[in-house]
Amino acid sequence: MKYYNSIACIGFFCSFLGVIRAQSPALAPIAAIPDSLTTNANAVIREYDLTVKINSPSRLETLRHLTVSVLDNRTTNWTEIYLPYGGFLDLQYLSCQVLDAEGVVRKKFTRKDFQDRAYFDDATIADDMRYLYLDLSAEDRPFTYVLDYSMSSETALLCPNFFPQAEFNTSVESAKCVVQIPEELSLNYRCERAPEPAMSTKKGYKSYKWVFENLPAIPDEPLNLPLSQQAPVILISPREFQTKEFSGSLESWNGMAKWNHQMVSALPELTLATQQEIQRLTAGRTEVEKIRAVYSYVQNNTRYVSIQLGIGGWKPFDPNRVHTKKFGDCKALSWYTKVLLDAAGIPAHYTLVSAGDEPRNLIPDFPSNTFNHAILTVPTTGGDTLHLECTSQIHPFGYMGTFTGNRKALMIAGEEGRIIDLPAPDTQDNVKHDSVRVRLLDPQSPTQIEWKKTLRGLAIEDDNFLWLSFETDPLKHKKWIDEHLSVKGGQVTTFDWEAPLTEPQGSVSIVTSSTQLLNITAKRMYLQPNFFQPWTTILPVDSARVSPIFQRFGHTWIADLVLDIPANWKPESLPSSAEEVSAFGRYSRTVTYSSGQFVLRRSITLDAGTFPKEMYNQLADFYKKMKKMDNERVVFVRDE
Amino acid sequence: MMPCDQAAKGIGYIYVRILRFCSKLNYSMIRSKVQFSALPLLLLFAWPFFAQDSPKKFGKPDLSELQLTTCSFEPGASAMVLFDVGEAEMEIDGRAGFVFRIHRHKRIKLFDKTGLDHANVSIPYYAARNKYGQFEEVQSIKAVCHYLEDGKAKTMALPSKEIFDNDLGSEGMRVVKFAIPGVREGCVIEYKYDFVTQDLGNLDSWSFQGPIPVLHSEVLLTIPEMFVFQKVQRGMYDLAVNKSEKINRQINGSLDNGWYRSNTINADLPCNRWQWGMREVPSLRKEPLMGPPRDAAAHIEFQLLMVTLPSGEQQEIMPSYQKFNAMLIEDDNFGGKASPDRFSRGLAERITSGLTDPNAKARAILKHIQEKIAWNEEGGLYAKQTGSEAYESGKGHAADINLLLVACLRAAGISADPLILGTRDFARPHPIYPNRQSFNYVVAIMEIGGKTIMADATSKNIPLGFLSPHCLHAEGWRVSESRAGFVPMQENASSNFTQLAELTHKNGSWVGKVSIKNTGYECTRVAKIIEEGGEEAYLKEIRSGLTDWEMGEAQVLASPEMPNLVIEIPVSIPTDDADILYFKPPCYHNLAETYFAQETRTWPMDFPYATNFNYIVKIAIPEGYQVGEIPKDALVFMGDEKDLLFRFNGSSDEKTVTIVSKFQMKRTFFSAEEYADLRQFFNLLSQKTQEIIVFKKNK
Repeated sequence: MKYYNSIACIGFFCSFLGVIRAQSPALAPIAAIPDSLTTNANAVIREYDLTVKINSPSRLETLRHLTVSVLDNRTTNWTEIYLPYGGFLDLQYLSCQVLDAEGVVRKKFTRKDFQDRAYFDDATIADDMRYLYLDLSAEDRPFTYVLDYSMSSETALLCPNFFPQAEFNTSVESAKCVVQIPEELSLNYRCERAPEPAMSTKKGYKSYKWVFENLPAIPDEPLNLPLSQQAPVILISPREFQTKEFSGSLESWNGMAKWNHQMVSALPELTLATQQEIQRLTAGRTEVEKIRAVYSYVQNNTRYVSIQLGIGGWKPFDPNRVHTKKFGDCKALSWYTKVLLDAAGIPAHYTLVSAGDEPRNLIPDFPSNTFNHAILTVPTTGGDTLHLECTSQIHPFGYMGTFTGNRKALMIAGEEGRIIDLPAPDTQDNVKHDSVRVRLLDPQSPTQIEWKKTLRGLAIEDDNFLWLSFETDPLKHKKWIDEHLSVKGGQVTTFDWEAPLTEPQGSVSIVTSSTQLLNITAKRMYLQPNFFQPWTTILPVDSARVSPIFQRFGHTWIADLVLDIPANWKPESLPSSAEEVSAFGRYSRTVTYSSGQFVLRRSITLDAGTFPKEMYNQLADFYKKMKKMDNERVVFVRDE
Repeated sequence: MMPCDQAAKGIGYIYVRILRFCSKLNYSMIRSKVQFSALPLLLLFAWPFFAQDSPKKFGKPDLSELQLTTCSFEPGASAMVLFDVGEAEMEIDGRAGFVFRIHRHKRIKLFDKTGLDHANVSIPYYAARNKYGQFEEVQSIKAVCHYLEDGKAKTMALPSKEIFDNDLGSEGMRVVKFAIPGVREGCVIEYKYDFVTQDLGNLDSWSFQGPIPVLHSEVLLTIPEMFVFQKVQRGMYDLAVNKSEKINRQINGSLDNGWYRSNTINADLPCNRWQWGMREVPSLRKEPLMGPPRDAAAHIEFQLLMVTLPSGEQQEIMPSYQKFNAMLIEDDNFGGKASPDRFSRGLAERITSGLTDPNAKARAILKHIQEKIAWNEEGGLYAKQTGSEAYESGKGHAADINLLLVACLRAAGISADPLILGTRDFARPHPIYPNRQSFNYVVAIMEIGGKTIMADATSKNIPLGFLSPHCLHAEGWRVSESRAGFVPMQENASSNFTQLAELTHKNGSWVGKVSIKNTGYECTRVAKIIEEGGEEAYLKEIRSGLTDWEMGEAQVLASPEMPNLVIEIPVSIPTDDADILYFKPPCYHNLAETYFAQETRTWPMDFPYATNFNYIVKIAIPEGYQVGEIPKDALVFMGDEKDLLFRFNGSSDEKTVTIVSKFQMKRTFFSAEEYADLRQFFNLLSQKTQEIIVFKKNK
């Protein structure tokens, strides 16, 4: 589950222009900012100018001037400044001034005051992207800073988009974006929640200009849409670009495909020996078995290592190198898997996607560079299409989880680029099922508990279950059990762990005993019957909700309990059977008691979808009811 | 004999340099900074040390290692260190004089997929340059992977162009990284390199234990007799190899100190040679409140005590805490910064003008510095900035801030000293042998009106007499001319919490209010939550404890002027109008869930402070109902001194049911053997405080 961060970072942060800007007129004091801009705001963008000058497909300059007033302590998004550079990007000019609330200059910083840092994680061996960092979080609030910097890029592909309102809880007093491009080149742009640009032509350059004023802050609400789907967004893509020796076009998705195709067709063929090895491995198998065999071969013979240098941020490594070294990044491993499948006679397509929890929105009729990850798409003759995550040694075959599931991707079929939908398991396939049997023989001896937790679909990713499943260390499993199958005072006697080996389904079973699960008093015995999977989430009621409700994935939860108690105890208070149905999903609970046995079955389904903001309080109410019902207790009294 | 004379010049010269590094380079501070920036494991376990004759020749595969399928002393381990050996020796290196060269050689068996990432190797080092060259260097890296193919052992080497030297960009920190090629389940990876450091005074400790089990770990140290090192072994495992001998070692090299002509040293020096090893050391597993993992790991620490010059003269480096104390006082970046200068005198005068009471003065100075200088979340033993620089920049690390605090307190006529310590995630200083690398933090300690008071200006929420919770650890050393000595850091630190809930039953609901009073460290904990996330963040914490209850608008009664905070929250919960009413008292703290999830424990538990919790619940008996059942009383305690005590009483009169429960933890340190009892105790506590009161309708 790794991706090449160089591209992601460039897209998000890249900016600015080539001329040093004229002095701004004096800034009004922070106290003079109108209430309409301070409501819900931790920071106010006073002024934000982005100028993009595209000189050629291989030359782009950006200039950024940003004036931000930080109002209070609640934001660090604006007080820590990160400026990525390196690789294709060069940072040319940089200055920052801190002003007090009245606008009087407090401090001045130049490039040497910024810390120059490397991106650093365990799987990254080398990366030519770096970033400059300045921490203003120690400044007394409120304060304002003015940041000016310019960058140049050796490719027009790294053309920034314009997000005038780049953070939640941030209002915008004024923002402006100007894009200049030679008349002979063309620009694609798309305005979302934003007006069309003013256009003009001057000295051989076409110029596009967007202006924004007085955008109120958007609060960061629970279960909201990503900011990029709430705030104005200007997507900008030059139609022609050049990356080193590879030229590309964003006129259509085919242009993106051709560019990728150029890079991969420059790669050497798989050696004959390797091809034969794969042919031996897959001989005599059915189509799907062949794919499974190759996928498992890749999982067993490679691992993820990230090296991002120069064109290597986009171009996969030589598959023979992956074969020998037994490692690669997402591009290299996906391409390697593709050529192995080729050797087995199975056509497969290299596929680009924006991975992670907050993917960038791929707009089918707006070709652009929104990708940060590569996978493989394998159409089968039976009509099913398989998607393979090639960076993971443990992913179940064909599983698309929270990292890549439920979004659009670009499949590169030779020189043709096709937009496809990556699936994710549905509500009824994403199941967390806890089945518990509790036996109390007499109040003096410990309660015996058997608990089986089954996880299916996306639920295998919960609490790191998938990753832990491939640990062979029993003590690591026991630690997970202590944390996630926790019975008050429990002493686990045995446990069993089934890893999600071939399908996205696994389970953990334990046998445990405890004297502290049931609360036994002189006359009574209490238990919260759903002690093992209670609904705990609540949402604050909000009558000024701004965003629609957004559930990216659907989920199912099932809690089953069978409780055996001694014959001389009788129920005094039992929860009732109940059902709550709402637009968001369903809660149901059935409860029975007969001759010393209490049985509970509770299930919750919550569907994926986007719901109007007006329904938010209904959802809050639904959550609250579920929580209350799951907290209800059963009481038994001693039959004297 | 000529070579000897020349050597003498060289050594005298080196001695000067040692002192300079001790004071200027703040080597331990660099480490402490890294500790604070969330990379401790990486450094702890990947950080190199010295080494020895390897038991295996580099690059030669061993069939028996390749055929291993499991770690015999830790079955299920995904990888195991087969051997990790180092030999540290001294050599002469041009202008730098004596340096340590540490030959490191390591082999790791990778049993399964989850172990493969051990083939991504990181070697961090400090690459800052000074006039003698580069502070540390990593040289001669070689790495290979041994694997079985068709029953035969094969080897794949790492090409040198695939070794990447990355600039981490913070104050000269760099890291060499490489991914060993050809790695697969069952393979053995092997790498070696030389680590060269100019820092003679702060040789890093050698860790025998790490995140994976270690079959064999050995360190060998060869040092000319003129350098006297203290060695301290720590952790819960015994040495399997422990040898020392005296040998003569030829030391060759040329010294170019810049003023004399180049001197060639060619001396046969008497040396001490030590060898320590451990076998079959299990992996180090982390547990909450276990103290610094670095201390828990089986390891040996080193400290240069003194250097004997060829003239016979002895130069003490760090023989005792008294000497360490004196060195710190003399150090420009420590004692120098704690002494009032023009700036701190002026500042103290401004802040305390009009004040006469020393307590008020101390409070005013502390508050002013807390507000003016923000802590950058770094530890530090030596100041990096002068007081005026830190004040101007508005930012600094612990030593910058608290040494200025001491200087201002002294300037205001208060007898204050710096107190150095190792934070809870850093290290526990040795009681006898000082080691600079055990200290990463400075606070202030002062005498006012016969009382000893500590202070920490790194956070706005820490009033006079309190410290940041990460300082509440082990013993600190008071650096002082007249009052030097150890100071227990956790003494008298306590966290106090009282919750009073008053409830009545009205119109089908329990309604009433919960009042919470926090004092001591509970109050500073809460103040920090409120500073970082607003009152909403604290209410969220309370809400997550009072899960069944509806909370109304909370009222903060006392101003958050610490250490005292009172909060009142109206609460309610609807009930059915039933024949029987069950009442579960509101009660939100649950230590059992925080610290006692694990069934068993390896390490002792070290709580930062003592704790007192009191819960009082008063329930008006609903009209038309009578009391059906009240939870039984309970009294549980541990230890002869009742240092862990829980008392629970329920009573009722005609109108009211009252539940009073009290939890007291006077002791902060519990051994692993006490864990089972402790867990049982806390579970009982959490169970009792959630017991139900039953009301029955009158018939």
